[in-house]
Amino acid sequence: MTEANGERVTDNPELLYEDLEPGRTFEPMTFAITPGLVADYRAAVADDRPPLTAGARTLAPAGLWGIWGRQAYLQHHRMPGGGILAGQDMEYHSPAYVGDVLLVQATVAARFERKERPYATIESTAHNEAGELCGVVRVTAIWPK
Amino acid sequence: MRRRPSHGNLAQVRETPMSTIEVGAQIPAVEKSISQEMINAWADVSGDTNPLHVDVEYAKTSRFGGTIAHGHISLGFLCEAMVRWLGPAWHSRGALRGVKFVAPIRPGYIVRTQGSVVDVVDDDGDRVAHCDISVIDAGTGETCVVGAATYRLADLHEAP
Repeated sequence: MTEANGERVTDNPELLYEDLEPGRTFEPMTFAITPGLVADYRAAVADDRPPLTAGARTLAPAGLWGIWGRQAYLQHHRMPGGGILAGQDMEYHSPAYVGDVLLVQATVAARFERKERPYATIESTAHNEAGELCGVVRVTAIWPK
Repeated sequence: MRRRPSHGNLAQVRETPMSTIEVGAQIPAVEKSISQEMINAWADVSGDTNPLHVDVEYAKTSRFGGTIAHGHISLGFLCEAMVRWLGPAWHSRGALRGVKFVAPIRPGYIVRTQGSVVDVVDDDGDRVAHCDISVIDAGTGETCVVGAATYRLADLHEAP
């Protein structure tokens, strides 16, 4: 298991289309929702709303799902140049809070060609420390050949 | 009978009244200015340093002719719009589905989310609202991102 937050992936090997065997499961990783990560996220998307709270806890921004959903399969790799995000689903099952450490894991759901372009769909799940499913992210990307 | 986990006192936080969620209801828009600085900031926070997004000179030679914003930035805007509309219950009852990136979003654009409720149905014990959602270039009206959102209004199996 690895910790993905803050990891720079540019020196990692490329994740090639041939590597995406349907059913392949990637190593689980932890994803820490730190105050710094949330502040950086909110600054990046110009989100100036007051943070949403529930009791004494602060909800993690829903858009963070896009980050762990991608890092789950790129924790030890990088996308080859020219890869393009084609589609995405994001499901919210249980809230995540600032301070939580999520357990994230990705699986290759499908690999196919359309109009002679290679596509792959990767599904990632995140559970909180109580074992509750927080979210599911499905990324479909056009992979460079 | 399915039961969902309890989420503390989320219900005490602001939510859109369920009675206002009906076919035709409009999702309040979120509008944002896109800059290269925003794109670079997203690259830093996400680790997605694809040169199409962050290398201006490289991107000029690409089929896009310049840098483009990460698709995940638009997803963040759509999430913000849904949470502004529905409150924290989105975090346990919402989903974005089939989101497609149909046109590039470039630095200098002002983009706007838009959406509306297109159906409310009973689905396996849930009352579910289906919405069309999109992100448009506010300057030209061009659609850049399209998709759907679903929101479970209530579990009909749960006791009142």
